Amino acid sequence: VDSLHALLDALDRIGDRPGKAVSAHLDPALSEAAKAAVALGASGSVSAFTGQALERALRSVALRHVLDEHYGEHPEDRPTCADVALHLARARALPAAGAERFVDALRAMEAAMPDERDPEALLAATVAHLSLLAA
Amino acid sequence: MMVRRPTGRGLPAHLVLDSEGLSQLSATRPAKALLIGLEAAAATGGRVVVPTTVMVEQRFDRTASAAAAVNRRLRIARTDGLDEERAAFAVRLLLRVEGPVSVVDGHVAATALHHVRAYGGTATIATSDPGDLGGLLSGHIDISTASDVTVLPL
Repeated sequence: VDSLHALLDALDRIGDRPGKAVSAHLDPALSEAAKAAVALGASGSVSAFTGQALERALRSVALRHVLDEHYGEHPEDRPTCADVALHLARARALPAAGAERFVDALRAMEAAMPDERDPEALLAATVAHLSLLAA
Repeated sequence: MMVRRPTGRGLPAHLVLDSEGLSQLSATRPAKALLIGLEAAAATGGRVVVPTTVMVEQRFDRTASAAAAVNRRLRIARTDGLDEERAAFAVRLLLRVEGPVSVVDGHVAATALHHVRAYGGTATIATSDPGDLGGLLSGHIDISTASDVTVLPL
């Protein structure tokens, strides 16, 4: 059984059984931060918050690997980083996304940052660049 | 009121699938638009969600489908059930629009709005029917939440 299969199987079973205590060595500051986040209403308890954050991270890992598996067979299907950044900008209704030259600026930034794979970073760089031009 | 960073960085971008979205997810070569939505979810920790009524409409049984065992894309989607609370929410949405809109579309819109409320961020509905879903969302009373839900035509 490969690791991705095991990950997907385990994610499918979340919630099937009662939780159990596990020991984990956390950076003390991380533990304090989690307590503070709970006090701010992020979750009902540090335990629940930790579980939710871990599940979210694991589902992202699974989705990333499932997509990469598809692109392994069909590399031409992989969207560009600019495609994904544009999707995020439109989903978030960013004012910049309505600008006429936004798409061009995004593509130009992608060309200027060919090693950038993070659409959030590409989007932030493009918005900052347009803001500077407008200032 | 949530204070947002200039680009909304860190906010999850959830993806909700209607019947065409589910069909595309299981296709050998999904539409590019769907892959972009999946990439956005992966990059932000967003959820990929299939309302259970969509599964019924598509006659898709994940627990029995042989396809699900070999198509891992189908396994990354979580389901959203039509319990009494979600049903009541869907009914309220359906009552705000004129003309026939399907129960499934009501559940899809309610699922998207619920995810924005419960988990923050934005939700995009991958659909072949942007008109009906857009009408349902525009009729939603909580405009601040509805504006965080967009439709992605497939």
